[in-house]
Amino acid sequence: MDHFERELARMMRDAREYTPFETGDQARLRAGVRAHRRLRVVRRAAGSVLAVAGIGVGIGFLVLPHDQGENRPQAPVPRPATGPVSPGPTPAPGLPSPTGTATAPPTGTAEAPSAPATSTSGAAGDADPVTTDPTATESGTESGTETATPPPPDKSTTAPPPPPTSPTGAPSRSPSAPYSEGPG
Amino acid sequence: MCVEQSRAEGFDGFVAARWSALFHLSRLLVGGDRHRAEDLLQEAMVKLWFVWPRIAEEAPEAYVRKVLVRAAARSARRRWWGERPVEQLPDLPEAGDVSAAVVERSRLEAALAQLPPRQRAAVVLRYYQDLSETQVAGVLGCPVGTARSHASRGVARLRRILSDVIEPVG
Repeated sequence: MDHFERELARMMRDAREYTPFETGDQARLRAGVRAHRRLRVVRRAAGSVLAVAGIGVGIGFLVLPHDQGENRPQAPVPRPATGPVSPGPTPAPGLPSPTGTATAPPTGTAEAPSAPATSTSGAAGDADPVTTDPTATESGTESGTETATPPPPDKSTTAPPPPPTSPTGAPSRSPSAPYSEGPG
Repeated sequence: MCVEQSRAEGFDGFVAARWSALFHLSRLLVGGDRHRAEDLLQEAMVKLWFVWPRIAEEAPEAYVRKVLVRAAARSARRRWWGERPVEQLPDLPEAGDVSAAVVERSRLEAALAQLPPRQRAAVVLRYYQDLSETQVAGVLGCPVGTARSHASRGVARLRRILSDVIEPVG
């Protein structure tokens, strides 16, 4: 520390003057503490409100898409049931099994889930609806109405009704088209 | 209730005992502006109140010092307080009508006001508070080398400004 630095330190110390802590300072300090405390409370309240709102929005986002996801797959399912009936000629043969399905089209959407369900259930719990249809349905009696139809080895479950009654087996393949078309 | 009261008593005792010294420190840190120094000290004391239970037994003054230094640097950065660096010191008091001590203090504060906040803080902490370079670096929140650089540059600039007040020896 050289002379200048020593002098600088001395000047800084000598420049100090006594400044008492007066009542005005004390009152100001108390007011400052109160204001700061109020600000903290407000901040905390705002923070918790924001947190709750955020959680609510987050839950909403989590739940909503899930519901839509469940609904969407169910909507297309009815169409296959209605598809084979729409060609028209199928009811004419008068077989008992087609009639059961013939009623389906008008209210197809509501009852539809049961129709495809039965066709697949013919597999008796197996996962593949495609492979199980022709053979298993004959033995399985649960959903006999639809599955009794011995359709050509079609992939879709709706295939059964048309083929035996009329050679218009071609329409039976049509269901795949409406399925992809989307709702009318 | 009793705890709150004892807390308030301890806090008030500390503030009353150290107010004058801390006010001078605050004034040096802001380059002599009395009102700004009061504002900074009040702000630091309010912050001290909320952490008082934790640090009352440790080093409350060190805490206030750190808060003051950082608040001074922040306030200098954030707002314009009417400071304007000039080559010549403005409005020097006449030596005949005021005491020499006041003249000297005014010159010192005017010189400090010309330093950047970090350099000013480093000089004040090093030469008024007698802190080591490591402690200065801790208060400023920077590496020791940076603190040393701030202090040496600040002193070099003060040396130029105050050359006519503090004459070199030899």
